[in-house]
Amino acid sequence: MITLGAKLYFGLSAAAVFAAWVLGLASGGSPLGVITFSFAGPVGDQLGFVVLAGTAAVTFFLGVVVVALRDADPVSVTEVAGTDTLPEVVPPAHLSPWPIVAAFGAATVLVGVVVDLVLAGVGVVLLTAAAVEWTVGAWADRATGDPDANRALRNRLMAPIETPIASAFGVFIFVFFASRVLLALPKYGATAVFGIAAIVVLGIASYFATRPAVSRSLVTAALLVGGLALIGGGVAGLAAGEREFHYLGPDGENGHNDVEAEDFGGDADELDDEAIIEGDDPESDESTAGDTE
Amino acid sequence: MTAFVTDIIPADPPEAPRARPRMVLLGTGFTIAGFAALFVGLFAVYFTMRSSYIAAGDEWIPGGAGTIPLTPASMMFITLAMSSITMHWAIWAIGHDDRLNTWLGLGLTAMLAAAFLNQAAFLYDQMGWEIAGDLAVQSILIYAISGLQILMLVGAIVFLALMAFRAMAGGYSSRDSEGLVAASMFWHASVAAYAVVWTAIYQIK
Amino acid sequence: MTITETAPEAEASDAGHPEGRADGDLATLVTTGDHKRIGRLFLGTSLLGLITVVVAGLILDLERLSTDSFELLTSGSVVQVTALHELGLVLLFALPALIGLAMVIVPLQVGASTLAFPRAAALSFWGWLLGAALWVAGLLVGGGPGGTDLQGTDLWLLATGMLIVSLLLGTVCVLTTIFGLRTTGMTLRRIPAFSFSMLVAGSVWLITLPVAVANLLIIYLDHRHAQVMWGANEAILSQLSWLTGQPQIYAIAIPVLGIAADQIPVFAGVRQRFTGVLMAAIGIFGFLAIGAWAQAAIQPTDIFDEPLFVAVGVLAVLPVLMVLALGGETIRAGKLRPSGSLITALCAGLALLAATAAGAVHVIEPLELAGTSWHTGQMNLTVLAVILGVLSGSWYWAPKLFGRTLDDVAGKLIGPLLLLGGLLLAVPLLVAGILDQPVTVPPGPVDDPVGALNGAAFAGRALVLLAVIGAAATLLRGRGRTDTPDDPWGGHTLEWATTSPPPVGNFAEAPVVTDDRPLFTETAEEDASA
Repeated sequence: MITLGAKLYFGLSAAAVFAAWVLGLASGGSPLGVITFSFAGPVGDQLGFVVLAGTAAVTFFLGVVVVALRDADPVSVTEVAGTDTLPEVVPPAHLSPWPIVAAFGAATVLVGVVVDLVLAGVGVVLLTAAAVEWTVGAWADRATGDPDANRALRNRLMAPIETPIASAFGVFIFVFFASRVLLALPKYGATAVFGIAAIVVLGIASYFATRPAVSRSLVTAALLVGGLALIGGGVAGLAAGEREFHYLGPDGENGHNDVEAEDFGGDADELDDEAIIEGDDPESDESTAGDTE
Repeated sequence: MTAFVTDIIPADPPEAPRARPRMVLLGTGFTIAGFAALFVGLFAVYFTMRSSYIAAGDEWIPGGAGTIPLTPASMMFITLAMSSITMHWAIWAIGHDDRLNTWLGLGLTAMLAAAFLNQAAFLYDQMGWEIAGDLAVQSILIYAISGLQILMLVGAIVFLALMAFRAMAGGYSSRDSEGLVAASMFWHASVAAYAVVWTAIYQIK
Repeated sequence: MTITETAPEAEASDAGHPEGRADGDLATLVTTGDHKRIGRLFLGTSLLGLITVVVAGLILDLERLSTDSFELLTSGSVVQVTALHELGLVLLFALPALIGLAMVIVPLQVGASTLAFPRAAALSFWGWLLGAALWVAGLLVGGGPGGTDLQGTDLWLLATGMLIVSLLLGTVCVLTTIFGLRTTGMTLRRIPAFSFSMLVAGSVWLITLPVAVANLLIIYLDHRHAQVMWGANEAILSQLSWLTGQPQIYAIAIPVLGIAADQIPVFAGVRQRFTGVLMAAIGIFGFLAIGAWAQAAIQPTDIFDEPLFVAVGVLAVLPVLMVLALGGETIRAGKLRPSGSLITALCAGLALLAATAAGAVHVIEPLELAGTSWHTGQMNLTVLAVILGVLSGSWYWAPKLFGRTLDDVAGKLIGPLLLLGGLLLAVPLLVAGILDQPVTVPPGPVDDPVGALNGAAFAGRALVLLAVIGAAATLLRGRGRTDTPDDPWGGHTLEWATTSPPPVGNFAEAPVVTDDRPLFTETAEEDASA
């Protein structure tokens, strides 16, 4: 018996074939070409004909799928399940960040493909992480009939992997973006900005600590703003580039072999002169400074 | 999300309720339909451009300008056809609760997929086409269509890997193997897509 | 005889469930897998998208009114804003709004405890939202059609693909729910009109929108590497224009028929008659809305010369007329209670009728309306029907969407106001089309009769914007009431058998039905026994 869903799709398919024939014949196709789907002659408007013939094929496929599954009608589903009642579909038992992570991953891939393939690689990593976590979560959700046991199973499998990776990733993100800000700002500006940032963090943390209760949204928003500020600052730092560094010579300011960063806001010639005065060999100094940058 | 490795798992938790049959199969069917429509859109433009070249008296792929070697393309077809058989082997095995043969079938399918991707890289290298110059239109369309088929196959590999993990974790058996069946549906669809690509692009040219 | 085993007053407790927290909880919002919350997110953000694209339309109207001494936009910017306006109406508003509404209502109508693949639905929303952000960003950095920034254009092209793929993912979730998650006794023939219209619309989207993704893929490869075929910037928008033209534009309006058809019998107090004819009409309209084959920019012949194009354009009026006639027949058989949502639904039906009628005139070749602003007016009428349909659905299903009823007086005002504004916007553009105003915004000032018509269109669009902002403000106002009745309208279908708002899992017990109007029959029997 052809089910209602299949009738809909087979009907669409038949109508699309008919429309393709009408289009083909009216746009200069030969009857034989149109009937044989271009194997034995021209079909006129090639694009419209292929799209309509393809539409007919796709809807025919959908018709076959739904008729094979008996429209997934509750009666047939119960029969397939071998149960007395329709198997229950349980809504997700817990929240999951992985859909939004996957979406961010996809967006990062797109931006990376246009701007920089390294960024696309970051997106692929995010997508892979989301796929793995999603799969394990989906498996654990149905591992037993007890949600707590399922959660424990999932944690036992994933926590030894997640915790070190998440920690390392968090540290990397902080170090990377904070260092971009530090490298982009003038010497004393960096000190000031991170001094103020430390005071702000301390202030907010103190505020939270003294409250008897803090809403989840407030904490989430504070973390989100902080994270976005760090990443935004880092991206701005990346875009602005590092400030120029002044190499003080192989013996350094105090006679040590070190490199010191300085704000290069003043006269470039003057600073170059300083390098020449303080260093032993101007040419060697310049080449080393170039390497450092 | 709090993760504690010391979470206690009850000794005898209740069995998970039966999953709702047909849902994953339906979702996969609709996804395949979406992919098929995507191919329809690409082939519509491909055939339109091809016929406009031929109607203007030009060759679609001019002799000497570049070649699309048929042998590696045909080997790729044979490889994927074999993967369809091994995929079916895995589905048959899980339907009979034969886990060893399930693994064997899935492993061979993955191996054949890797071989296909390697052959695809070889074919592109042999063609050596760039999206520029006289063959720009042809290469845009051929890369778009064949690239989409490769992307679909990669999607099928990921889908299969995810379902294989669930099978490994005891998620599927003869009583319920719809996840694996859905993955195999998508697999066969990506093989069918290559059959169309092989016929329309590599064979007919 | 209908058996509905779920007691309407039964309440499942959400206490302790992570999804039980309010929408204001940010952590819950970004990690949710609850179909109602995801649907609300789609609906809310798509209204923001609507306001954005209507403002873009106002800018284009102002540009049409510009004089020699005052020009708002450069010629490239005009194309960019046109892309934002026309494609945005479909991708930033119509499709996400309808998918959002369906994500909330369809599972309730078919008696499901959740949407199929709820986390994929969440991915669909976040993918769409981030895609929309990149899409707008691509335009803002000077990319997109008419733009000069190459990377910005690449980003815009890929983001358009991401928008469409995300929306298709949501469509797959809705379609799978309609087929695969129906409750015991809910055969496909018994599903309510809105769910059936989403089945047809979702199927049409699934077989046509990937063709647009195919176009985008080719345009992207060409634009990035060669610019020999479609990738030249001036060609991009025209390659995608079939998405907003006839007959494809009707694909976004299919669910409007379902939204209206679900309400009319409820407010008339009678059973829907000729359900099979109604389903057939919606199905036929769905077929006539398949428009991926009519890509005027690539086809060698003029699409307006194709008999099939003309036939489809003319025939599209008939199924809309059939649905409205069936509605009229139902109203005649009962006693009408004119609620705000019903009035808005009827306005939506009239707007769609006007749109299809305008479409039928558009395809008559001797009138030479192709390439004129008639196209813009016809598109605006179709989108107007969708705006009205979405707002009507939001008002009608507000107890299930937001857990409260919305202001009925505002509902009664917003529908007619929108219809008035929409007609004031569209009719002058149609008339200007007869006077040969081109579909593109001209670079300089236009002659007086057309200039006056453009002024009227600007006023109409401003009225539409005001009405939409008013509707959005009403939707946001007065959240959190707990005394909302489960079934304030005397609804006939299963969504009214649960609490307002529905609990996690939707129904305290899985409902069992033996009729396509389970609650109506029960009410009728109670009335009869009383």
